[in-house]
Amino acid sequence: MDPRIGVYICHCGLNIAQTVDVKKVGEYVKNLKNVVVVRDYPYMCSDPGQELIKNDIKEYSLTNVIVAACSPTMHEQTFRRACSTAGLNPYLMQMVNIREHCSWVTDDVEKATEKAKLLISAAVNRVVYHEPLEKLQIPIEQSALIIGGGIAGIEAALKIANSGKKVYLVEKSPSIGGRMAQLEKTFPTLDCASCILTPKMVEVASNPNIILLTYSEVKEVSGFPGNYTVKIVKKPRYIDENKCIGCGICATKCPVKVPDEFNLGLDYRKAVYIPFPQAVPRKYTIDREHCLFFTKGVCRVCERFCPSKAVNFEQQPEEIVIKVGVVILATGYDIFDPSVIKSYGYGRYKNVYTGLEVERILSASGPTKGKPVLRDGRVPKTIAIVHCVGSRDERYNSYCSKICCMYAMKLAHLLKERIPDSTIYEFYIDIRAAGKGYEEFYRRVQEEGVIFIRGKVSEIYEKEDGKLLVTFEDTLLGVVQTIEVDMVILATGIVPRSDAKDLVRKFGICSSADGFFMEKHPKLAPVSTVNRGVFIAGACQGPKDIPESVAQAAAAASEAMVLLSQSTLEVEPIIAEVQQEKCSGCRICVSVCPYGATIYDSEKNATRVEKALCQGCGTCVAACPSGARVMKQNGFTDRQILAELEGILIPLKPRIKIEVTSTG
Amino acid sequence: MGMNNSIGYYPGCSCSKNGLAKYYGESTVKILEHLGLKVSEIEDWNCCGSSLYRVIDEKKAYLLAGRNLVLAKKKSVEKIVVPCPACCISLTKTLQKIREDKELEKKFVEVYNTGKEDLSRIVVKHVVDFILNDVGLDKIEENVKNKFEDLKVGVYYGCQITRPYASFDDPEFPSSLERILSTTGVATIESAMKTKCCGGLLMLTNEEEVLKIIEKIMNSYIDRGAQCIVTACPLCHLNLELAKNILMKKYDVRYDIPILYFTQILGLSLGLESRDLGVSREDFEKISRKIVLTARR
Repeated sequence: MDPRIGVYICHCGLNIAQTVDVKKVGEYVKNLKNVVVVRDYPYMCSDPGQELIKNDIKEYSLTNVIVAACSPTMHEQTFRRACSTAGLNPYLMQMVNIREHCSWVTDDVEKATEKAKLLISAAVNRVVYHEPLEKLQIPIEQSALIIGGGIAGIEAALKIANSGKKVYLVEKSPSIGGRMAQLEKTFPTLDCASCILTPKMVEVASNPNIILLTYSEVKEVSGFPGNYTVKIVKKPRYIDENKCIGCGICATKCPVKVPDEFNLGLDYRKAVYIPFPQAVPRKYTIDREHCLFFTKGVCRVCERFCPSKAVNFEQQPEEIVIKVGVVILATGYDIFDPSVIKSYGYGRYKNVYTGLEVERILSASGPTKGKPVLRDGRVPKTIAIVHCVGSRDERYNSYCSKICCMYAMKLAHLLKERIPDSTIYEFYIDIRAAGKGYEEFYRRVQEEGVIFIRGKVSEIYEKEDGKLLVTFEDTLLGVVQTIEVDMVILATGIVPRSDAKDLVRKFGICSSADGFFMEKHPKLAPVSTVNRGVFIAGACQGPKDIPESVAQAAAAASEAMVLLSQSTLEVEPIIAEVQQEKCSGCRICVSVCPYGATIYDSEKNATRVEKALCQGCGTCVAACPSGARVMKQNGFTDRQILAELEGILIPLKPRIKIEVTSTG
Repeated sequence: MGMNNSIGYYPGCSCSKNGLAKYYGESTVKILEHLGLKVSEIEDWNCCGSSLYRVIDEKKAYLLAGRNLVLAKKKSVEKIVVPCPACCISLTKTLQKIREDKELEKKFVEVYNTGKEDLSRIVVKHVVDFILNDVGLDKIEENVKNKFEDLKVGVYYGCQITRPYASFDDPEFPSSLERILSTTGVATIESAMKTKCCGGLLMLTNEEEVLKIIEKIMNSYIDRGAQCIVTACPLCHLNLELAKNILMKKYDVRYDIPILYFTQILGLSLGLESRDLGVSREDFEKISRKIVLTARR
């Protein structure tokens, strides 16, 4: 049977019809080979528009449909469904973009109309080579992996677990809790951070659906959406988690002092430790790098005193392999290192602190038990807080870190509360207090007597006595001034985790230019990624405060649940195919595939394409040295593409000739 | 080290034989020679135009500074060592501009018959950069004869050495001079003022303001016990020297400390004679008490 093609030209209101002469295009298309019906309509995507297509498919026994309208990303699915309902395989339909590619890019009616004609002519040539394709159905593993045990990871884990699905929560440090556990109070409500966080941490530990893997890291990921196989390495604690009762006698007896990471080096911990008193799980860890037994082969005091015989110096890294259907990345952020800003002297001047360090100083469980004192034991009476350190600065990061204004004001409030006779300055560029109750908090801090100076600190100079001279421009007064203070707090911005790139690679997602994980769509798919089974939550996606991180965690959990609630996953058939019997097994396709979808089968000495993983990018097909003989890209075969080119070039040919003769 | 005969030396007006900073120039050449490096002064060099001429006639300013590059190129010079930071900027800027600006390059071809391809191999280096990164600390350490025991030296960079071309050090907190001077045994004094402007040419028109600035700079070193201050810029040296005398009369003898070029301290440490380095008898007496002879192995 000869092909019978129906062509449908959309006006898109005036979006197309104003610039493309649709009647003229229709006249032209009518005479093309195999075209049996041509129609134009104001809104082809509307119900009556779709009805036109459906009726014609039956009435004219159409073998192919061409819709000339907007971008396929907008309505390809709509028209595929319409064809499908009328009994035509949806992949026999082709869309032509005469809006974004024609009418929207020029005001020249003639040119736009000409281009529309050629693009449709190309589709008419191509569509006869289309083959009917079927969507694939792939079963989904009914469990989730969450990476990162901060507030976002905790929240997502609880949501999924409470809906009855199994969750693996992987955290690289010995305890969950993340950055929030380091905070004293949270803005703007001034809730005690630990008081609202620790109940959730305990809930994680006791939830039967959550398998908590602390002190563990993801080593390898393979598989595809719905079916990931993940290799996790559990680092040795040298303490049997099942036996440790968390009594802490080991730490009391341990003779080695190590700078405490949780307190940012402002204090010491022992070589056997828990990061903080409310740690979950409450299991001790021996720090191999500093333990006397591991460094000098002596001591073993902890082993001697442990009442439950939990110490085991022989422990080895343990490899755990799990299968999960979905993954949520909630790996959080790092603090910008302000020592690179030489003029602020962080790291050289002992009374210059970061915001997080002051957070620890003010914490009841911190190095000074919440007493606001400097490293030399003095109580600071004048304090300068510098905003936008490492943020909104072309030299470091141009983005706004979003949380710093608020935490800087929270620190000012807490310091003022604990040192009532202190003078506190906030040096800001703009105050960004956009959030529920945030502006009110700003007002409150102003009323408490904190002095706000609009302008950036240019440099800090340390005097002999340890006091600091802070030079700044007051942009409201228009003067450059210098004041003397006891303490400077740098409101440091936040940056992507140092190992973010590694995770991007492992999970086949993207990161934006600033290094944070990239969402699939900034507005409409904020927690999805280009990898269908991988979601992101919290500050790993970009600077975020606690309420936003929690909201995103819930969103990611719900997206994950949408996948897990289905038994199978539908996959697009526009993917690559290998003729295995003709494949020479050179594996060039394996090396170029960005998704790990081309897999070498050593028995057959040939590659195969894992259908669920293939995204249809076509790289392997282009790279295959045997070309079309061996590899084929469904929907983009050589034949289809060449026919499409001919459809454009053949009508152009005579005109090119005329131009040549006239100029020659 | 890849040293060869293609190193040119550009003294510029201030470090030339008749210049105000002639001892900076002389001591630079002396120490480089002493370290066995053959540097030849670019023959028939002319003024770099400094920063001022560019304001008046940009194109001619580049052509003026560029003439020195052309002369260097003719002698197959690949590296030009410059003691004065202002000259260094002028020459670097010209080199950069020829690479980017086609019009200017055309002019260069027209006037000197030399284009960017010819000039692109030339590298302009400030003497601090050259001594630290080309000569190297190992070479200096091998040649140090005298160590200064407990001489507290304020290290003053001024504003121009690492700005705007911070090619070899941090623009706000450089440490090259400290590293070079560490070979001489001196104790370097850290000051947050070390890259602040000395007032520059404002000394000619608004002495009062410049004195305020320099008072701050000098205090920052003297408060921390500096017994002398070293510079690596003719203008900084001149301003500090002038201001020192005024401040001394006005306030206190505490400002009466030697202001030296870093090359002079380095030269003394290498065992060169103070008169060859242009260190005055008075200054030499003040610092020589701190010198001990290091026994050569």
